Amino acid sequence: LFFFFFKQKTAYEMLRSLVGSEMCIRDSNEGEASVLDSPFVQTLNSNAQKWAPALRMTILLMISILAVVVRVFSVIRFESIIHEFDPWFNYRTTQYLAKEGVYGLWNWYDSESWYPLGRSVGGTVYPGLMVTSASVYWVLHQLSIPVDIRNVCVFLAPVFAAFTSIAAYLMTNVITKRPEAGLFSALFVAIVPSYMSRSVAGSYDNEGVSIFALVFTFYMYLKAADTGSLLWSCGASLAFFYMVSAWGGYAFIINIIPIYIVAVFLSGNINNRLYVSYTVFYVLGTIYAMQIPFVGFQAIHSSEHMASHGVFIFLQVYMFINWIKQYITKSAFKALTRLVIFTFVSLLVLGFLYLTFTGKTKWSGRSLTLLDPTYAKKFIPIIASVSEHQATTWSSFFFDLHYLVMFTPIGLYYCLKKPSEGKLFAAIYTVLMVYFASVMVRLLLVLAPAVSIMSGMGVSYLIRFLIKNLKNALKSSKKQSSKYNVPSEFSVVGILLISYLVCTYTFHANIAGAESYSHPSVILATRDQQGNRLIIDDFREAYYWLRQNTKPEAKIMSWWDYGYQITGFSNRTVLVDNNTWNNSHIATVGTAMASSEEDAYEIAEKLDVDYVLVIFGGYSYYSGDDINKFLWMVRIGGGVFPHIKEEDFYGSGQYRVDGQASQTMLNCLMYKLSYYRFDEVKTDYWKPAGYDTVRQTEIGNKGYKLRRFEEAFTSERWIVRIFKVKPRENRDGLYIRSKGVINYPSDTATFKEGSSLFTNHKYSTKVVPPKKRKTITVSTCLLYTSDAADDLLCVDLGGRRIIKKKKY
Amino acid sequence: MKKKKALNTYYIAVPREYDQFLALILVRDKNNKDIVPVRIQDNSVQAQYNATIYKVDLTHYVESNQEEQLIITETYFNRMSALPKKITIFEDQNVEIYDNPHFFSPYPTEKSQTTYKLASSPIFYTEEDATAKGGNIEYGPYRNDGAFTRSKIRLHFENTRPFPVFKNVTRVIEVSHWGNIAIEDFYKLANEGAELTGEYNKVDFNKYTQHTGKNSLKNLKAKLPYNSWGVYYKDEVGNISTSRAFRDSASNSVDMTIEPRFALLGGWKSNFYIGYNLPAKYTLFVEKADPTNYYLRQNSGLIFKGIMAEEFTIKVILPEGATEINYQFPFPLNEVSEEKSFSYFDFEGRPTFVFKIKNVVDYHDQTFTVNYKFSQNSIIREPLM
Repeated sequence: LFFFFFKQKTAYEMLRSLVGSEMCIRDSNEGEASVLDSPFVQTLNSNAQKWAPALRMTILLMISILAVVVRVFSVIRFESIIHEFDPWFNYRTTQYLAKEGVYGLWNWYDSESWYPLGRSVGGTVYPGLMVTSASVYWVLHQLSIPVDIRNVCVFLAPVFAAFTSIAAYLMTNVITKRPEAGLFSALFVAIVPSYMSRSVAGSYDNEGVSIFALVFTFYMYLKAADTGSLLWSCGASLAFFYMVSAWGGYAFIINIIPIYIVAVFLSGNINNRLYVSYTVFYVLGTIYAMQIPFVGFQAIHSSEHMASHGVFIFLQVYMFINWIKQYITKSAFKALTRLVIFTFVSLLVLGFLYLTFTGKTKWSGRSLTLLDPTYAKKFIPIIASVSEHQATTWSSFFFDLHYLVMFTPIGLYYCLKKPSEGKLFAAIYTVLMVYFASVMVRLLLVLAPAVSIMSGMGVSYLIRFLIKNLKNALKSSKKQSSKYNVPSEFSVVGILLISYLVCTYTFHANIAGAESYSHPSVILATRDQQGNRLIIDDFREAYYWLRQNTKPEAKIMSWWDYGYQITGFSNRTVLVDNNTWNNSHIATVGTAMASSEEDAYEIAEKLDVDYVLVIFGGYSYYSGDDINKFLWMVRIGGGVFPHIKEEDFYGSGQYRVDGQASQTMLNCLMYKLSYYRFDEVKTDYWKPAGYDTVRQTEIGNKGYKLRRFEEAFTSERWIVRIFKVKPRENRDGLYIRSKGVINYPSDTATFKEGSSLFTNHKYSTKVVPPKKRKTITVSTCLLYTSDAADDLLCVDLGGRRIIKKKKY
Repeated sequence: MKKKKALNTYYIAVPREYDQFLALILVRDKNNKDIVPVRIQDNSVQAQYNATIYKVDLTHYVESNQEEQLIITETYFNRMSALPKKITIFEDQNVEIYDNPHFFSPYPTEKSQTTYKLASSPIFYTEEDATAKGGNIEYGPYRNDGAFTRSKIRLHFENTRPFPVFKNVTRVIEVSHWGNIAIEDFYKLANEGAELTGEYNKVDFNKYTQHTGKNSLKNLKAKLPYNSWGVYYKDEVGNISTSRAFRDSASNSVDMTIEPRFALLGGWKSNFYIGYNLPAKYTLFVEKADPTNYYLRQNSGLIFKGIMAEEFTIKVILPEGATEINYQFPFPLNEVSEEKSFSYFDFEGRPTFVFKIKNVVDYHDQTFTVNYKFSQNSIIREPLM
């Protein structure tokens, strides 16, 4: 705790000094003859001017250091470990890459995931992140610095955050030509909480490097558009290539730039510089994008790229017409223009419609969700189930961006007041991202650089304006200009207020970074009654048990959230993991969890499952457990296997686990495994045995035995429970299927109902006759904290799976 | 024992079926020196008497008609096995052992007597020639046994303690002439007691109670050198937070208690690392007459007492530029090899010696020395880069 405060204070102090020095530069840049013509002020002024570049670089360096330092809370308070879910896959892939080399990764067929399918990793990842850290690793090893690959992975994101702030500085500089605005932007982006949430040390995810790539590509492109230089355009397409290699979010770039071109065209300012920069960027960028195996020809035919194709063709035609203009009469030109525009537009629309309806081009589920925010909720529960894909609330806007939300409109105002091409770009970028960020909470991340740049511009504009007023007021009355006539009291108060807001922002960002976003989520920390810090290490305890005490070829069935962690920590084969490309496989696991013990056993047998792993928080107040996520298993399972019905799991119209829960709920595998023998323990002195601390209720099904599963391991605080799938007993092959439960769809029952010799089937589900549909108050169901693979933006969910159009 | 003429060699016989479990034999004569006998490759004797012969060179000659007292200590491992082989978490662990109660020797024996000290009163013991007093069972006295006399007894008794064994231990000792010796041990721990069968039963089995899973391995105690600092305890997936260590001046050591990530029930395994640093001034010595001549003195035993390591590898990484490397071990080694290792800013590699010892027990807790020449000037080379 002490350390934390210490950190916070330094950051705060450093920033305040930054703000001070900012003003210094601003003063100096203007360099007007002041009333304060004293030699001291003059020397100060000229000195400041002389030292400004050095000062600027020093400040930028300090911001970069700050960006790194503020992100290592997690290492200091926990340890150097990979966080959360997806980073574990990236880490494992990086380890493989570092060991086997690029070709090794290309050809890697990972049999540990997606059993029995396996996964061809080389062709289904954006390799940018892994290649970056493996390159760092190789270079350091060449220099005889034998760092651990894990440490490279852990500290990559903070280092790239520093790069991002430099890129933001450069970009704002290009837009406004004002370094102070750039410095503000750099400062804002360095510590903006929404970006920090994905780039703290250990958060080894694609976004960690790709936010830098995004900002840097924009910077390069703006530079190219500004100069019309081929070199910068090539640079921009190279930066774009890096972005494509790192993250599916490159679709934003390939759409924002064409939209920007169209906007410039509409404002009538299209010129040769833009033409050159866009043409070069588009051609090279598309070709580069196709080099990534995972993108390949999608760069041509996917809907996300259509805008860029259209704008490219349009620009060529427009330039051609302009060229022809020189040679024909005005009236002929007018007619020609009309004709060409009409044909062009109709061709484009027709072509697009044709492609869409014939299915030549497809929208991915996520893109559709972005265009129609209700789409996922209606059709793709797997996307809707991820908490990051929810619509953003105001509170998260404010928590993740804080005062930048206030500064951004000022920046936008400034952009509109003195418009230029660069400012137009920034405005378009910001406005589009505000929309996307409102649709999906995770896209706050992409909004963060936009609002930081906007805020940088806004704040610096405001301060400059106020200082000019102040100076004006200090001048002798003769020289005073009427343009700046705000009373100096207002100016002083305004400057103080802005400084205060900026300081508060840094404060808030620090607290958010340290308190909210620096938890590895595989290690939990709490405090005991004496206030000592207590590490809850159940996940690693159980994962390590799997690693040490199961046979190496064991297959683990768990909900998909834990797939990457199990392969990473335990080195064991899993059925499903956080990559969501095979929805029906996930649905099978969901179905198994939602089925009765017998039915689940059959599914487990068919999939060669050796162990079932469930996360259970009812013993130790851990609310992120499987029972809370269970409705999603039901929904996703039910999306493919219609005999799983969500309403069967509601008791008295509510999702509950107590005595009033439905029979289906009380007898499903997830329930039985989570609460196995839980009724024999007391979690609270005053409460009855079997009191679930998360659901705050006494469980409804007590005293049952498991027939097909056997408890193999339960961690210290019960958070991870592992059950062994028992082998079939002798003469156990004959059994009856529970009535009314259709099983695995591919399998037509070998034993027809009633044909069995053994009918003493105690464990069959009591099938609740389908009730009349009543309005169900959809109770809160925990959303996944996991990220449904970023790899998805281009992989099509809709085509490969059957989406049952089911209303929930 | 009476001998006809002065001699200084003595032979020890070990039944061949037990020889493979023999970790160590030590012989102590009247000079109070431990002698490690040498195994003799004599197939004819082995085949004839089904015995393995060890030869001891005593420190002095024994005249004829003089008596000499020898204390022979034989340390075995894996001789006890759980019976039943698998138990549930509620059951207590029983073990059985077979042995030869006669003094097994290539010489005739006038009188011998064997006492077995068991953990508890036996469930079963071979009753012939035996007197049982609680957990102590005496066989004999046997009189005038001929050479290689043997018989077989069986003891079956309760022993609820865990059977921890290190399947493999690798110690890396990295010497820095900047004043630090970094030591990291990698342990592959197994509990070789009766295997767990049936359910884990979290409700009944708790790490901190004694009623169930009595043969589970819950913690281990280690003694690190008194001056060690920067102690860490981790495994392949990161830090393990369940360990305590304090400097105990009474026992002149750092006492460390570790708990594995999970309590090891019978048949379970776990790997972990323990690392610590030692200030070089206590273990790295320089010769006064020749300041380039260094002596590294290090412990050649495990930091855990009473637990055997089946394989123990010690890697000594000397600084880059060390030459004329010699080593002295107080006991014979199974294998020695040399390699290069690379650390920060190493280009030619650090000379590394790999010593392999099998079946390491408490006896190996001694000091070995590595002696090398190293010019003090070459330590500033790396910081300069």
